[in-house]
Amino acid sequence: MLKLLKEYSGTFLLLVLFLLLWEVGVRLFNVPFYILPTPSRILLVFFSNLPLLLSHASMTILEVAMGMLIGGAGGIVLALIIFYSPSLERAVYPLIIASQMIPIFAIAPLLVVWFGYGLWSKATVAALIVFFPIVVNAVDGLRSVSGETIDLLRSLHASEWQIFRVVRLPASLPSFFSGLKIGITLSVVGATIGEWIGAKKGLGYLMIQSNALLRIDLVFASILTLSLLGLFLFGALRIIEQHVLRWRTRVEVNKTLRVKQ
Amino acid sequence: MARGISVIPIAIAAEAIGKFFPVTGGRIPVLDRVSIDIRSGSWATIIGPSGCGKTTFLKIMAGLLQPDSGRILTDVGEGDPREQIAYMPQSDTLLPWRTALDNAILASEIDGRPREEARAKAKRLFARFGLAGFEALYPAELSGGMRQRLALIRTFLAHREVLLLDEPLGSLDALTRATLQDWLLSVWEELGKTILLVTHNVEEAILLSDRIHLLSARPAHVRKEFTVEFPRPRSRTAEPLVKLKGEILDLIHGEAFNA
Repeated sequence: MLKLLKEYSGTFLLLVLFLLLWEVGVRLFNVPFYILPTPSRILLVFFSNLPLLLSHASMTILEVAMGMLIGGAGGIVLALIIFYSPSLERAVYPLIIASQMIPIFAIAPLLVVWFGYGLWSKATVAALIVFFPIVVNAVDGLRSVSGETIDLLRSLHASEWQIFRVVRLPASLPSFFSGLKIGITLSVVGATIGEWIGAKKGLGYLMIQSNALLRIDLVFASILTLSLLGLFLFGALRIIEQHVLRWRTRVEVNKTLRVKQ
Repeated sequence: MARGISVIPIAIAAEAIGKFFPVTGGRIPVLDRVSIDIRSGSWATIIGPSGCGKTTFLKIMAGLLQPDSGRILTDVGEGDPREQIAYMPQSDTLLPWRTALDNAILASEIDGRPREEARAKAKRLFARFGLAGFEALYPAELSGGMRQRLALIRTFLAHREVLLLDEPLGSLDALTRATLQDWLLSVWEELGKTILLVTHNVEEAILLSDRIHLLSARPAHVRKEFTVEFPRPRSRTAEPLVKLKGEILDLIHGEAFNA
């Protein structure tokens, strides 16, 4: 922890400076708290409303998780189709890229109409956002195997399935995880916007409600919770990644050790 | 074996292999009726100027490419040579996410042999061939020479009669290369396999092989064959060896000069 503080001491200092300026500025100019609350007030509201925030956060987490699952599974299937069928790739890839020109947020109201105010409309928004980086990165990963490695396996009489299992799948994991990491932060945004449009629970819903009541401090507390949530999800994914890609983690750690010596 | 009277059977033979590569507006000939016989348990080497089609020829021998004419015969007759050969590509092609030991047992895994048995066998080879203690390391943690030795152990563990090695030592520095040449020779003598080596290093060819097949520039055909009869281990500086080296080099350079 101390090491972390030391490594990011510059960032940390800037952050403290910014919060201090904010605090002093608001007090100096007597800005009313329902326009811009001080950081100290936001922190106070955050801690005193922690149970409320957590219960809304649990909904947002569920939406993001379901979105990741659906978008992830769909993305993997599509990546495999694109990789193994060149003719389907030519048909499908342009459509996938074109689909990214449609602002997902713009169709979020439609999704609420189709899937209701509950979990599924938001999970769908998250899934639609997540799926693109996963497809693109997974296809790149599947393609990353060298022709010589494939030659080696063919010379051993390996079947297509064996080549996939032994080489392509493990080779694609690093870029697959890159896709997941991009996706998970975006999907938190997606779920929140879904909640703005129509929800019964969730941090986005709490923000809209608090905003309407001019509880700006609670809006900020929700934003803080959302940021922490994003950090937490990203961190969790990183831990999973480091475990799954143990070989890379170990090689990298050894390298930095050697450089430091 | 249908062919001939020779006492030592032929392990693998290429008969008049021809190959073209398609290019825009036609095709260029790469191999021009290349024929080579390799005796069981012997060490054969293909040598030739770079870009002459050595790797293409080896890939055809390995069953990875189909020749446009000619055929590959193994001691079981015509058919898929992959039952008989183990192929080692030019780069080590080790899988970075597998430990050294699990890289070594790749062929056994593809063949569906029990993993633990394969691991035990590989471990014994590691010990015998100077890689003991490195079983649990990943390829990125090994030196260039060790990676190459690991790739060779993986090739031996494919349990095939004939090993096709495409410049296995090409990426190494001169010193490591010399050490590994000796090592490779001792491994070959111990395991009694048939080896077909592709190299562009004349000294390496003379040091290691029973027979050297010199290929011409593209389109490649067998220009000359040398039987190397000096007893092993051979000295790099022995006079007859140096003489043979000069003879082969003159042939190669003469052609390059005339071309």
